[in-house]
Amino acid sequence: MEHKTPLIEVKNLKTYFRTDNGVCRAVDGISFSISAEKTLGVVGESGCGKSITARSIMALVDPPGRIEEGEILFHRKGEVVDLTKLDPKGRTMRDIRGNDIAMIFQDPMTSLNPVFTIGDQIIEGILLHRKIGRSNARRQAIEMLESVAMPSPEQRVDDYPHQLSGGMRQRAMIAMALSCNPALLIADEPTTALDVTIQAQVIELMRRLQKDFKAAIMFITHDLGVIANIADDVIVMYLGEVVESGTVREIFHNSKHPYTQGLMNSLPVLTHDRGRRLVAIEGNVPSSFAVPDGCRFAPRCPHVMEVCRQRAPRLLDVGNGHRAACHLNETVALEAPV
Amino acid sequence: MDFLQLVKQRFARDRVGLIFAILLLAIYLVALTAQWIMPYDPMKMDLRAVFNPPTFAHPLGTDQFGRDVLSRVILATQVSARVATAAAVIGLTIGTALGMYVGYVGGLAESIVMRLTDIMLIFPTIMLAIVVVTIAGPSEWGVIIALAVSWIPPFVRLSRAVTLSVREELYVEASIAVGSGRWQVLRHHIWPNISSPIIVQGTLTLPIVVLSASSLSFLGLGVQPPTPEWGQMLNAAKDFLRTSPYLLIGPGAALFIFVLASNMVGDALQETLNPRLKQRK
Repeated sequence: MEHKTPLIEVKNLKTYFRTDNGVCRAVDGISFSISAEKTLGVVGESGCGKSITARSIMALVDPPGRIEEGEILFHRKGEVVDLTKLDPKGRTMRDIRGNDIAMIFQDPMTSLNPVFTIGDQIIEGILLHRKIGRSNARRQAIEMLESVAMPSPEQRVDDYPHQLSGGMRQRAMIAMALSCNPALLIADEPTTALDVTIQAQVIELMRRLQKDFKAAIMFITHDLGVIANIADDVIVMYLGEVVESGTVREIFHNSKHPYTQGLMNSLPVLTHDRGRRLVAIEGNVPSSFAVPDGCRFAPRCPHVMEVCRQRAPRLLDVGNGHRAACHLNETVALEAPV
Repeated sequence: MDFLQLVKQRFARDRVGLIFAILLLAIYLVALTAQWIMPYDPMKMDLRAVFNPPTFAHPLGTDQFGRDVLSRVILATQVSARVATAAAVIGLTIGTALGMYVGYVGGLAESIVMRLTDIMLIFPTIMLAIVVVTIAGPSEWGVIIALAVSWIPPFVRLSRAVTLSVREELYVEASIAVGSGRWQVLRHHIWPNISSPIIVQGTLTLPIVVLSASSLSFLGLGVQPPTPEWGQMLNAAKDFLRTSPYLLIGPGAALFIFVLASNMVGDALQETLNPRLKQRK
């Protein structure tokens, strides 16, 4: 993958939840970067730290959660800001939210306020960041609704959320998120709550809008099909760590981590023989309160070796900007360099 | 918000509720126009006409000083409505603002305010009011302050409780994610979503406040003579219960109607607003 100047760089981010039952290491030392106008797909099972990563970037982690370590460097108007150093409630962070980094949430049913029209809610975001009057903001809101292909936007702008279908609400959410033309759009499972045909429409829409608005997207999902459709680069997360990262092509056709391979094998493939059973990954994700020693995937890994239980593998380059954290690759790399 | 529209719809269907709503409005209308609709000067004594039973000239009779009871009830309506409404509104405003704020920000501020509230809730409202009115002095403002203070804790508790649930809604987070500050979230997202139970509670508090105000006046701790007030008029009339029972009718009926009407309206509002915004369109 070619490296332009990154828009955002996350370095060794650790977000822990210190509770009475112990420390939950939800995000445990992950690093990645997103270039301007590119889409990064973040995949992993529930509870692997995808959403907490997104919230850490937005400084929306609620206590007892806290960013313990690491940097989130955001390139903004030629300056570099470390988002972890900002006051989550401070002026600068509030300026960045919505204006530079916007977020779309998973459930469009609950992320719109039921007592306001969707127009009001889009206008709210615009007025917070732009010094324009209400009527101008309203016009802009209608334009936004038009660009997310909302049918008859002039009427819909005055509708309450409950008068819209799920797909239309998610379009309204996208309009709200893009209304201030952010450089980075974080989409936290935006299609999970929608049915499949609407999912396809929303993804198509996001791809188009990304070109129009020139925004980078961090697309969080557990749906590999969606990732294949929209992402340029992919990181695969497991138990708060990045286990593999690379271009979407590398990850899908040349995955180097048993976990990613397991995820791929668990997908149904149309061209395969009928009667072939889908392969599931054995076991469950361990609790992030009690992370296994050594490689975190070792207890479930089909290729587990002695070394896996003793030493955690490093995230190593396996060629083409593709990195994987697995001892298999270290030995393979030793024996037969790629 | 279609709040008003919803209320209109409700009362259009609910005849009983409508009657009481009109009664309540009528009482407030009397209170507002008292100065112009009193047939006599409520303070003017006439010692030649003491303890007159009801006549056409004096529909509710005259009291021990020969003052026209109807005029005094009308003025008392103004005083009582003013005291009760002011106390309820002040208690509601301060209590709700405080409850919303600490419910939203949480932490130490919340602990302190809630523990203080718990302490205040130990005392019955009227006891607390008596203590405050003793400090503030028996006067109209004394009663208002006393009742307002004693009604802050219930509103703090209520508004905090509803805020706690609304705070966790995703749209609050979505609003923070577009850059809203604390004030914006409270005003724009928390308040509109908690206002229904607060308004209902306010309407249901009104009759209790009127009764408390009358109780204080009855005990001589409230509005001072010669200014008439329902409780205080009842207090004066009780001395002549055996000889002139008609003196109780005016203030008693006014108090009764006000309490009943505001209760019924509160109930109707509660029924309307409880299945929240469900039946709109």
